[in-house]
Amino acid sequence: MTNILFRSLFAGVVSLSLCGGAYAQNTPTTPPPAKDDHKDHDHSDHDHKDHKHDKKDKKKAETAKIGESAPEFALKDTTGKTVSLADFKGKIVVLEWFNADCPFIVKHHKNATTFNDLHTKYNGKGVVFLAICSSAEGNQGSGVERNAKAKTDFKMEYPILMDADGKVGKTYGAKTTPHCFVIAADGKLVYNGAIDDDKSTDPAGKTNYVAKAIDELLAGKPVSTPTTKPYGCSVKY
Amino acid sequence: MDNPIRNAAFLMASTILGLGAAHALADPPKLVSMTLIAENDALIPGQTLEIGLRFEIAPEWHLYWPGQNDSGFPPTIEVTAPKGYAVGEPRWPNPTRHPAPGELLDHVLEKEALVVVPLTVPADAVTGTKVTLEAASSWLVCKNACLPGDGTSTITLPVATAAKPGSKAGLFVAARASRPGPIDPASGISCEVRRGRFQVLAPGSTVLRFFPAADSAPLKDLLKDGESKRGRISIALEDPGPDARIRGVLEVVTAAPPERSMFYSVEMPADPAAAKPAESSQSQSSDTGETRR
Repeated sequence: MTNILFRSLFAGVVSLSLCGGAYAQNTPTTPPPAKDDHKDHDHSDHDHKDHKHDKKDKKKAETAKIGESAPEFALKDTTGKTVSLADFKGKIVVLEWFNADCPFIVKHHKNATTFNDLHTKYNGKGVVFLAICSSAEGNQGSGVERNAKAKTDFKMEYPILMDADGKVGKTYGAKTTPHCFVIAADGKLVYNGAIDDDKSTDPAGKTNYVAKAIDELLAGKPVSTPTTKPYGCSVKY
Repeated sequence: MDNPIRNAAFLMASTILGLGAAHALADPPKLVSMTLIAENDALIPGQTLEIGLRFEIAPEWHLYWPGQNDSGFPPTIEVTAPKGYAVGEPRWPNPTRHPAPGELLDHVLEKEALVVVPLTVPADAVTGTKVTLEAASSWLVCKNACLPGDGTSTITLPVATAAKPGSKAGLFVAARASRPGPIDPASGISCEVRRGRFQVLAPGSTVLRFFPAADSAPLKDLLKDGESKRGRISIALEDPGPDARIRGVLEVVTAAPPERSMFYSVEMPADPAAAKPAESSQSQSSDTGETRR
């Protein structure tokens, strides 16, 4: 439990400096197929090998996997306009799973301007940003009204797409807000993971994995860190 | 009830800015309260006692256990004591599994959680004086929303030559009773790594659960394989390095009435080639960490 800030010195102020350490571990998070009934899951021990094969063959086209074509989607933004992944053929697309009221989203959109800075930096270089909100109706951050307000409050110059039934989120295997995906100009998924290496709610970390992936793509290089463990609030499906 | 969601952004901002009002604003609705408590009513020079941060969590909400989780982060634990006092490593209570839609799995703390911290009093502490200890914590509390929170709490205890259990001593006794210990060789429980999988056999158990620590070799498919009702757990390892170790808490539920859970600590090399029979951590045991649930 190395991440726990633990001091016996005199320390006056309570701060939100939480887990100081970087999350160095690169966990390829292959998104499993979407399922809703976890609670009633039968946690049986059948033959794992066969089971996995099954899964792979049946679900291949439906889930997001590094190196494969990113799943298509068409979702409405906060103005009611339909935005499809197909609209951006030939461009690099960054997906940001979004929940305006999640402290980690507040961290990157208000306390720090991580996403707006990225957008400003890469907007003119053929990179498109899309935020996707998969909060189910009634859950934190849900609804067109809340997201329209967030877009204004956070001065976001890219759309927030509404995925209230969570279908796109589950297809991509989005677990947290913000969970980021980078899609290369050829439509292949090249990055799946955290925005950066500081999983606390404190201001942004040192290595921004999304920026790193974009820089590598723009330089014609392969993405050196295709997966990291995403952090943040759970997506409120 | 005020809308906690609406307040979140503002709360967050004011906390970051260090405004003193942040904590007061966090009160309605009070989702988590943290109190510093001590097992005994006095500090004895040269002795170690247990103090703890007691988290009381609103129904249906949870804090995060410091292990492998898909989301959230565990409460920070910060204890401030006068010079000369030694504050030990926090000891966390056992978590529960919290699956959520979207194939998410977190290991969480619900209802009430006591994070115990050993405190060693310096031998030259002056009897008759009073000492104030302070605990501070920041946390993320979640349900269908996630909200940040923080709190501080102090306790003042006399330094004396004798001490007796304080009013909250029972919580410490319970925490010790459920604290994971080494696996009792007589229990028939075995842990091993075979063909890239961490496998546990616990004959006679009705449910087995494994909660990997944050610094454990990463394990895959915990949502599916981290719990089993077949007396056997088999979890795939995620490319462990040569020095990687499997660390965590094993919960063994037995049905023999009354149903009860026993908790064991697991600590073993993730690469079986690195395992020497002599260093198996399951060979000496008196404390089985047995508790009722």
